[in-house]
Amino acid sequence: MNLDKFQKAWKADASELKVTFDGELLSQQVQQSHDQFRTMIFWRDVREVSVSLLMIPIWLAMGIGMSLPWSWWLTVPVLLWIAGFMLIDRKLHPKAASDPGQPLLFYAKESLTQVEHQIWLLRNIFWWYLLPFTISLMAFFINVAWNTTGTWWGCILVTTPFGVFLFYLYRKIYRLNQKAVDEQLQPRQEHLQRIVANLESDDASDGGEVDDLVELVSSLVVNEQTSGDIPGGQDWGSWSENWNRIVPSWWMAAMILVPTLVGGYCGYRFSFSQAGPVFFQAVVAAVIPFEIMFFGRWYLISKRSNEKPPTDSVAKQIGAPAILVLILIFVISTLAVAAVFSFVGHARSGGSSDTESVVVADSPVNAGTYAKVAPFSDVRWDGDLPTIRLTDGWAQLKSIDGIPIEEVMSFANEQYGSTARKRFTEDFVEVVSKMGHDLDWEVELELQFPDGEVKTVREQMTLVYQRLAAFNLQIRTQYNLSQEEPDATE
Amino acid sequence: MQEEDAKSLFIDWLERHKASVIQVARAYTRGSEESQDLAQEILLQAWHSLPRFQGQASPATWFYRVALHTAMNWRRNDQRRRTCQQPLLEVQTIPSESIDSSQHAEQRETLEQLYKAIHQLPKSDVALVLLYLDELSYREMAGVLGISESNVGVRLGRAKKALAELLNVEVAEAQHHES
Repeated sequence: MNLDKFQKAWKADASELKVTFDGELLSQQVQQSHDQFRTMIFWRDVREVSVSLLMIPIWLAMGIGMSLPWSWWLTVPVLLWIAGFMLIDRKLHPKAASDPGQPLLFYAKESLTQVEHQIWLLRNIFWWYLLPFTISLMAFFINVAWNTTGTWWGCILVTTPFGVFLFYLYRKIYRLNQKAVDEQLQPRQEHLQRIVANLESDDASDGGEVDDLVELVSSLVVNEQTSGDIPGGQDWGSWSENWNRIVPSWWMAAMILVPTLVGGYCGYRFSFSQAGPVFFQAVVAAVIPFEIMFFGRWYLISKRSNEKPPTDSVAKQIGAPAILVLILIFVISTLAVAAVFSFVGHARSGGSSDTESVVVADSPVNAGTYAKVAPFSDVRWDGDLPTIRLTDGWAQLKSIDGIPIEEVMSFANEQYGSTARKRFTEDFVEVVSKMGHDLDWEVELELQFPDGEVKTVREQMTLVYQRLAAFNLQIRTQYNLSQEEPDATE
Repeated sequence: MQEEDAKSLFIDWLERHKASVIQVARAYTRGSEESQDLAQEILLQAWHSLPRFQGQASPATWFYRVALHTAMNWRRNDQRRRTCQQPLLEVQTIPSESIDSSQHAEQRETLEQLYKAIHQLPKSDVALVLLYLDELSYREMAGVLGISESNVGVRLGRAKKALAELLNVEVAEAQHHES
């Protein structure tokens, strides 16, 4: 007895099978299936580049809304580069498996090529992903630090913490990717290389690899599922499953959302005048409960999964509660960045007003608007010659950035007539700028002190209204005037 | 390739290989409903891939490649998609008039025994066994799998041995299909 009997039965069965099929319906379903596949590919590409593309309008809105310096805009081409790189890479190296109809060995080779390309991508993540971001963000930090401090040491002092943070963050991302290569992709590459070599060889003595045919055939499908490698190497399926585990229901979403909203409202309603802008306080008060609730939940799930790997079945498609929390994270992050800038602006303006904050701008003259700043805190007049008050006393002003004061006052008299001294005091930037001189946040003053000493000093500009407010206070105190009475500055 | 030409070519191929499609589907699944689903999926994949058939392989080889590739990637999850679709196939078994009912019953029993053994084989061996049962030559098998003919010989020998052990029969060492 041998296998002939079974072979005959098999052939007989084949001849007895009567198969009828609906050709029209088949054609329709193929088209439908083809459309579904194209839609899936389209949305996968959109998903991968949308992170970069989504950042661009946010970047634009923040840049315009907060009048951020030129270095802020360097990140926009970086985001475009990342999105473009990923799209072109996807077109040149499609991760979808080829259609059926090829020899099975073909799929192993195709899979090997794709794994090798993924290794190349992750090995070089520093060059195409991390470095462009590092350059643009560091340029922004340095630029802001320079505008804020105006000195090299101050610039280094302010930039270093940001640089260190960026370094550690990017080192973490880089190491995660290298770990993914070392622990997952390289062993897979070696395995596939062995399978391909074995199948191409005529020596079939090593039969152990034969059983890998199944894996070989399905290898491209596996690649398809694990293609979310940028950056961090996590696949979409497990990513969405994890999110569904963290936020499995509307109840859990509410547990995170409600404290966040309540915190934000409390921060807004019970703000302190000494603790920065109301907006900043509201965001901080929202972020704290959000972090406690969200990261607490994250920690619990992560701890449970480390102790006992999850065996429960969770939907692969990300659920609506998880999407809501993801949107919340996005909104909170954007608001947090805006709040930090708002706080910095508030601190720079001396924290005296919630409505008048100084933004980090390139120069005191920005798009035809003149900053109300001056390099002195008070002025006394000796005819048309100003004597100004600095931190260490009064001194006669001889020149500003090399422009003789006589020249400045002559121009002011010509332009503003009887209000020349007032305009010089209150609209210093406008007067000097209209003479055709560019001012920076720090100016060089030539001063003659009462003892006859002439010195050149660099002085930072401060807000005019601070000076006027101080002056008002002095007058009111001197004459016992109430706060409601009109100004007596003139 | 014009759509009408492709359609008639496909129908022509299907006429010749329809039984193989069903048998491959039965070999890789358990239960008639699941095998029906897989058979439909094979047809969908074959039609979908037809425009890219370049004639480098014979239609039979190409058809087997599609069928085996689809079957090896078949997952239970795919069934969810299938349930939304209308049935494309209707499969009937019409007993041959040349054999009587007792012979037919014996044949059914043999087939059941064979499928039971096939289901216990590794998926890679199932592919080889199916090609062997359909009497493909070593060259054709090598074409389907993309491996050398000598490799086919060694691996098929081992697969047959495994099958024979499961069926509790002896394998004739001289069995070869080098034609």
